[in-house]
Amino acid sequence: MSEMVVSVEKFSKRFGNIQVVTDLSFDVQRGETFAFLGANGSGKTTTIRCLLNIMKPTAGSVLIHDRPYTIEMASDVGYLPEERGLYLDSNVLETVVYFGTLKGMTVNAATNAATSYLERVNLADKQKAKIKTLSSGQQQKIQLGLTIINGPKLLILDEPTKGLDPVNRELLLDILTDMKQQGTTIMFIAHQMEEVEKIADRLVMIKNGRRELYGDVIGVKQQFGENRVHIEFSGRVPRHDDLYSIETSENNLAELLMKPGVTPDRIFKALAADDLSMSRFEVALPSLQEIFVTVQQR
Amino acid sequence: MTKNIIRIIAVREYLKVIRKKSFWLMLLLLPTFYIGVTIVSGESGKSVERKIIEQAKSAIRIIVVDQSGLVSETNIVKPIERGTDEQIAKQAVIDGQADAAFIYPPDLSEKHGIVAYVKDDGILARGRFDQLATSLVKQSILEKVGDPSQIALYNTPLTIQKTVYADGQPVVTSIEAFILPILAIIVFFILTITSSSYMLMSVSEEKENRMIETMLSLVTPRQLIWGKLAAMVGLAFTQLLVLGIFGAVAYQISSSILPIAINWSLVQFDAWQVVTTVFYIITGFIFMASLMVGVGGAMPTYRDAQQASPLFIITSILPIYFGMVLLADPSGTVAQITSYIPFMSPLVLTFRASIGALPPMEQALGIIITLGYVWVGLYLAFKLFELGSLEFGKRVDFKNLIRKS
Repeated sequence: MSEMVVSVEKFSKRFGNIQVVTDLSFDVQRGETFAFLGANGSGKTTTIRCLLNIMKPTAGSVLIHDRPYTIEMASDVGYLPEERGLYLDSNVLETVVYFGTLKGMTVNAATNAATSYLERVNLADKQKAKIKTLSSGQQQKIQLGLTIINGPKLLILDEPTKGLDPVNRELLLDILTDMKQQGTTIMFIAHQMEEVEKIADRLVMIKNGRRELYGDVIGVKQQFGENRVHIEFSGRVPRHDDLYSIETSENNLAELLMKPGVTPDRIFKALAADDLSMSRFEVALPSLQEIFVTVQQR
Repeated sequence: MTKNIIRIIAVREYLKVIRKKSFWLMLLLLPTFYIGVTIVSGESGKSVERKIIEQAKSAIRIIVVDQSGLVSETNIVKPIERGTDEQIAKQAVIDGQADAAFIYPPDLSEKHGIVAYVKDDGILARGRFDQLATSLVKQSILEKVGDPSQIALYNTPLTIQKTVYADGQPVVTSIEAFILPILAIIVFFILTITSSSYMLMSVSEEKENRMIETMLSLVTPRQLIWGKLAAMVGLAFTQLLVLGIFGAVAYQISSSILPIAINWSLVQFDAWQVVTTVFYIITGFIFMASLMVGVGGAMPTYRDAQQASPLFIITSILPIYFGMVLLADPSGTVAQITSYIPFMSPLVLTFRASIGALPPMEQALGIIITLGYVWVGLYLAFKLFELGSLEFGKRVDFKNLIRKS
């Protein structure tokens, strides 16, 4: 039986007259990577701040391991906020060790963990450097280091790849993948849907503070129908405007968008009737990017 | 765990400031600057005095028109000469033929006034002959006494050996009596002004550089603020220690040059006086530091916070402007009123407690009111910090403070 690490139940948050989140419910299971999606200003960061007891909920509950978050739980949690910075005048190693000790580590343990992390992210030679002398990408790595120095069992990341170049983004995703393999539960906010597709097991998508979609990634995609067909072919894809439109077609690969009410087998029969030679015919799901845009615009 | 976190924060905040060159520069340069200014100012005053004497001595012609008959002949020596007519003497000064003309009127004994006409020789030298004009009469009168020892006594400054009694007991009136008040005021200023500034910087910078949200996921606002307060107390003690050493060295050096000698056996104060003084200093510091936390939390940037804080700092040191009134009557109406006005009360109560000018009723009232102010200060500080710490780039809406209160 799976264990709930995060539990959000009928949670609402209001600032004065502004209702930011309404009646939101979802949970995050142990060991999974969970994406928390929504447009800017939809209430994601507010939900996380309430989850970490930085703010108080107006109604409902936001719990970690069935309890409201307290700082005694900080040793098991790593939080990378959206509004993140560093003590620019401090040196790298001291900063990471400081956060390790705040999370309950001894100075020795924190120093060892910090040194290992800095080696992994190629910043071993910057241990004594002042943070203000580092590039923004290097500073992002330090921020992640503060978050994971204690080897948390639950990681909460608010746009972790924001501002990272592709190389560092891959490095970060690798680190997260490793942590997941070690059993860390990861809850993250992202606006890059390809990252979500790459690492998320389940997701919740909100709009104006209300839940719109919730479930495992495949399940959510299936809610939006299997409306695409990918084919590998030789020759030329015939036109059947009443059945599909050709979205892309190059290098003998094509993506066909099915018209409403059309089933994949009708398309298959039509292509076969036109003697198109096909080595692959596959029904595809919509991308999260498309689903996100559809949900936020409807 | 809580105490440990406060300690971790305090150690880091302390080391952060102590490692700054600017801290040591300020700590050592400020007293050096004050000493420098005092020496330069003293030397400058002496130099002006010397110049005036030289200018007076370099006079070529001074006319004395003595209608009173009091100025004796023995005092009329070059460049002083007698004149008979006030208008002629005055004209001689106007024409630049004389440096000064003193007119001693016939009714000098009744009116006590001398008329002088003086050639201008710069703003500071306009009074260069005043003492000479007076001395001519006084020395002439003394000559009539005829006793050189009495004349010498008149011209020698006399010392007074004084014993003052309060409640039937002798009171120390020398510099030793002011050791505790002086120390108390110095400590008060270091704690409330200097350390509060560091507190403001610490809170504002944490907010401005966006570290605050990460911190608040690991520690409570109260732990964060108490940790910073503890660091500021540590800083204050470091400053006191360094300044104490600095002062002791300066005292050793200066005591051999200047006629200042402290008889430490005369430095006496009762334990309650010390306890209440320390109490008012500490509560004053916490009150001021809590205001700085509130300002730092409410303002979006350190610069904005710096612009808002002087209002509180100036109000808290306002009692200095009527320091003479407090010194003259430390239990008077002004002292009593200002003892209970927010912002002013810490300094006034510290001063009054340090000189033992707080009667038992006022001591009790002072302690209650001070604790009340500290509670209000901390309450507002935590509230403003809670409201403002995550308001990046904007000020706290004070309506929310009222609403949430």
